[in-house]
Amino acid sequence: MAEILLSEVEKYYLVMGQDVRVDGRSRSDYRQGDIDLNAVTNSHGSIRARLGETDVIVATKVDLGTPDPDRPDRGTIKFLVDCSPTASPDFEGRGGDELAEKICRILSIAYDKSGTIDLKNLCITPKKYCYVIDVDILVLQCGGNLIDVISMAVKLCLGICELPRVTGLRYDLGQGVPVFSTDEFEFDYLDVKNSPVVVTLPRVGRYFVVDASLEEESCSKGKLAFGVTPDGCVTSIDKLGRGCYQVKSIQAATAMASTVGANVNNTINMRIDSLRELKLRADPKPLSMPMDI
Amino acid sequence: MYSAMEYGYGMRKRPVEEVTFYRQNKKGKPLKISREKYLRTDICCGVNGCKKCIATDRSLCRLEIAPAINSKKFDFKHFILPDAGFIIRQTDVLDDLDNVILLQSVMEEVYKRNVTKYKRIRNGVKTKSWTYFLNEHSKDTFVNRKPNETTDERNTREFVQCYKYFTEHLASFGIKVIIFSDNPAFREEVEKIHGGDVLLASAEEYVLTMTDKFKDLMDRLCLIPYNEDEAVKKYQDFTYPPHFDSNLLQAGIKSGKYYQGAFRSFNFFEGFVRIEDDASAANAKSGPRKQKDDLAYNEILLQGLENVNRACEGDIVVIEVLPEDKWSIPSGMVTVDAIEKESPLVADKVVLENVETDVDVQEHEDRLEEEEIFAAVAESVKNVGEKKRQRTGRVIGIIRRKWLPICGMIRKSLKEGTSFHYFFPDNKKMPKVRIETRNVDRFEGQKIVAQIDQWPISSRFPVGHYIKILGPAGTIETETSAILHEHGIPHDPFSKAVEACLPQMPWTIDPSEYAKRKDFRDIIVCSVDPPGCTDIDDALHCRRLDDGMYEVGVHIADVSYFVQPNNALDDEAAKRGTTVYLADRRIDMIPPLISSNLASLHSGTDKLVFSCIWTMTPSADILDTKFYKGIMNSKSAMTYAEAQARLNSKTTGDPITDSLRGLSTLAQILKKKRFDNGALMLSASEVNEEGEIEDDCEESHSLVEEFMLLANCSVAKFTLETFREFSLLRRHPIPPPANFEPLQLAAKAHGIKIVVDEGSKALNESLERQPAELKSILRVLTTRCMTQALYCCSGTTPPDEYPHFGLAAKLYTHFTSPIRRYADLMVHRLLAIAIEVDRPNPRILDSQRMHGIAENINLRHRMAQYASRASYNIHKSKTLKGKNEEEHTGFVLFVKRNALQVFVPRYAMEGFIFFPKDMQYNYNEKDGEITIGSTKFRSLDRLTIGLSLEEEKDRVVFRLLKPEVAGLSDKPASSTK
Repeated sequence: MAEILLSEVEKYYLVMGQDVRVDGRSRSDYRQGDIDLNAVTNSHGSIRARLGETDVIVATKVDLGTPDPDRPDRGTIKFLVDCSPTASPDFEGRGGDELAEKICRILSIAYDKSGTIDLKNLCITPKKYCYVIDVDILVLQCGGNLIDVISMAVKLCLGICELPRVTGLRYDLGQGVPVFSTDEFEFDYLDVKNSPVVVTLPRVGRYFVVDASLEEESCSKGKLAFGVTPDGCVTSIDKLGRGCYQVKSIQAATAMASTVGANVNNTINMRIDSLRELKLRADPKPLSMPMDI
Repeated sequence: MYSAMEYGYGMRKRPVEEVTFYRQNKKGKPLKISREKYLRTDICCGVNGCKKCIATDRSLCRLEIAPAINSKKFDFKHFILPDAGFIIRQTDVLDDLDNVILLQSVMEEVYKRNVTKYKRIRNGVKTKSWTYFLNEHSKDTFVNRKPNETTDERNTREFVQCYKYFTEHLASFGIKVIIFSDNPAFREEVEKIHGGDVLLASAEEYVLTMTDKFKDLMDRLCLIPYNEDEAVKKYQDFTYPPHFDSNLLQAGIKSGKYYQGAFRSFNFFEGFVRIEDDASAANAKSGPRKQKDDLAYNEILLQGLENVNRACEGDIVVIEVLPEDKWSIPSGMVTVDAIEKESPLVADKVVLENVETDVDVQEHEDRLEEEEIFAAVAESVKNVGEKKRQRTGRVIGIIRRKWLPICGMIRKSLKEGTSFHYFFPDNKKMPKVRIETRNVDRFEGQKIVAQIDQWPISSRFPVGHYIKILGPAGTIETETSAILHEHGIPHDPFSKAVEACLPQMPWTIDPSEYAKRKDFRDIIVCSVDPPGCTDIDDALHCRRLDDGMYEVGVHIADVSYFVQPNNALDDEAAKRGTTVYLADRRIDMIPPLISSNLASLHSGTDKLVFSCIWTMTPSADILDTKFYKGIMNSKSAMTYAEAQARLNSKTTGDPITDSLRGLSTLAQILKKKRFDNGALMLSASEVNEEGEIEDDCEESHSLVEEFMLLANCSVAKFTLETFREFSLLRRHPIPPPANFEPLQLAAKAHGIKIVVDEGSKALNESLERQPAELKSILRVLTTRCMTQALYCCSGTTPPDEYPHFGLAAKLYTHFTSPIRRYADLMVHRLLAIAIEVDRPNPRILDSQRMHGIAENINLRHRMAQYASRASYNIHKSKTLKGKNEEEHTGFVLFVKRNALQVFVPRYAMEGFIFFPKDMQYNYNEKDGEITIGSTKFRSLDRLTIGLSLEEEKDRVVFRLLKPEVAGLSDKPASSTK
């Protein structure tokens, strides 16, 4: 994880703060952010999300694949995170790999829970063909709360990912290869309403804070990452970093994540709806929209 | 790519649109492709003299600013804006119309639906006063797709946008635009989008109101109703089973339930499809012994109109194999064309009066013909037994049509006042075609070209339209152009673009060439060719070296110097593939300036050559082979007879004669070696009355032949060593033993033995052993049993298929006639790169491209042969004109069910002696014999045949004179008159 050097005085100031944080937010406030549309034109749905200083690009590509033999009636979603050295000097060389792997794992676990995304919708012909959605995540700037931003961007992106409709099966190449529509407007969206966003709560001093800035992160020993659905249900908990927690404080954090997460997730759902609406609008489209959490 | 000015232009803010679409790659992955499109404001409307447009090249603006008014209904100045359906349906009409605006989007649609027509129209743009408008790039006409709009809707909107643009743009010239479309739905849609007030016309509407000058166009209209249901209603005399849906067909083919293949017809209601399936593949592996069975198994018979189900010769069809109890055998009949044979109904007036329409007459005739076939089949099934029955199938779908223009004649309908008439193709494999014309009388006795448009499910015969009149039937001129048409031989004069590639006259060899090339000018080189030959492409020399060895050189005209790869001349030559020799003319592959003048090796001038030089021992063993680009000066261009005279003369000391003698001695040795190796001596048709091959100049002929063969072999070996992947070779596949069956039957009947399955040497020796009177005709028959030699690219052919069977050569190619064969030209280029006098060219060193070239020249070569044979046949028949019946010796080549196929060596002519329908005869299929009364006919039997010309039909009649058989030897009715 990207670290910055802080002096003891600075740390003290951060840790001792009450419900007012360094930049003036309360403990459950998010920073300002916005979403750039269509960041990668040749992908099936992509956005660039910025929250505070954190900046990521997420792009989805739809591919044709074979279902997992264990789950022959389901498609797959694959995550790939690339931490660019521009984001932080720590990521140079293979420096970002560990973090990237960790983020991938958190996302995979969050999306693997039943009830988040129905992977059966991604199956075309059982045992033979299914959609494989490759979600490529590029971290451009690491300004704190990276995992949350990525999870939001991933949810947005999956929400606007266009799955070309299957128009028939073709037999000249193999056993019934699906033929996709070549029409720009003949596609289906995935239902991502219930899929989670991640809320990471580092403990700064005595309190957990949401959307920690890089400075706040460097004052905390460890953090808890929760997957939260729009109705406030916590789907996963992960502990990142060092440190240990009392059961009581975990309960407090879970309650906090549940409320904040539900709020964030609903906002994201609203954004997905407006992005989908934009697709059908003929007049000049706006290039970006505020995140407004 | 872009000039600086254009860059400057681009830097100003240019309108950009984003175009997005999906594609699926080969692995099935859906790709989203999104492109920015820079719309241009400098695309010209195409009107010659339009000041409003910026035009980069004024010569491309061909629309006339004052177009002629040719229509009575549309009596104002107008341009024509056709839609894709119109272009495809009415190509022949469109060809003669001026001031046509072809939209890029429309042409792309045409390309998707019919590539041939696209190419034809695209070529038209180069010469006619048409314009090709890039509407998808123009700011004024670009239309991006709206969300929730179908592609069709967008295309129509785009079309209307173009119509609007042109109408507004041309308003100041007083020119209107008329949308041409036969599709009622499209017309409605256009009116809806534009909001009424659109100038629309269908082909019929427009052409029928045109001035008399365009009367011809009326007959070229395709008048099939656009709507399929209406088309079904219009022609109703038969019901074919419907074709299956293409998805179902694909699935069926994949699962092995159905088969796909090219339909090859015997006649229009019988044919076969050669398929590859697991069963036949497995059989093929099990050894050569079963090959005969495989062949039968591979070919699926289709019999009867309903089973053939509207397939025509060459179409790619999907077939289903019928249950075994419906299997049949090929009828083995030779159909006599209905136009030639006296129609039983025309002769029988009583029946005719009862017949309502012409279609009924036709149907009746066909039914008779069909019944005859099936009766014959039923009889054969009985005779040969159940075992020989072949897999039989039916057509359930047609993947791709191969409807090329066909030549033939129109027979006027017997019904008064109808506009439907029948077109009888010359090619007996094609069905008759319904032609709708209001003016049938002008086709009386004319040979015409017609095009099939469609075959509605309810119509017994396909529907088509006439394209052009070739001329009165029977004249040499007409028949020759019919032959050229029929075989698809490009015979138009060379285009301007091609002529632009020719060297400037007067032309002399560039001085730099003398330095680059090896100098052979001091060597005594001479050429030997048939008399009157103007395109001399080979010359020879031979001289004794000091060490007792011989230096022999073959010098071939260096055509590749004049025909540089990748220009219009090269493209044209590649397209033509070969020079076509007809009886009275020659259709050149390359313009005569090169073929007969610059490249041709006339004597006495310096010529550029590509030479193959060997050092040989006196016993004709090659010590060394070298290739050079050189310059030579032929000392003498001789005919075969002149060369023979020199060889026969006793004079000595003459350098040319000495050179010839040296060559001749070596050639004799080479020839002997070649035959010892197992080369076949084949004979096409040069057999005299006694059945012997005659050749007065044998020695001089074989002299040239041997060295040409040797040069070809040497070049083949050398190029293949250098270029494993993309050498051009000529291979001759070993004929499967089944091919020799007619020969075996004939041999058996005459009590002789021919060894066919032990290679060419054994075959040749067994032919050599036969009695003299049979030898030559046996060779003719053997030649017939051979497979065709083919060009191939070494990279796309398995190495064990390289050998040339007939010549018993492991490697062979064509190097010696670049003036008249494109293959040789390619080999020259390869060789030039191989000996490093030319730089490697990626367009030549490309196995896929080479494969394509080989395929094309194979086709061209075959077509040229057919055309040439057909042309000679016409000319031979002309020599019989106005003469009494001539008596000649002939031979039975094959015994058919209802005819004898005979061969007359005197004219090298082939024909049939048909048995009258009421004649009693016994056809023994197993032994290939026919017994009529007490006379037995077998293959290779010697006959005396009377040849005469049937004046009205211009057809050579073969009549059996000896042995005399009642019914066959009667005087024909026409000559007794």
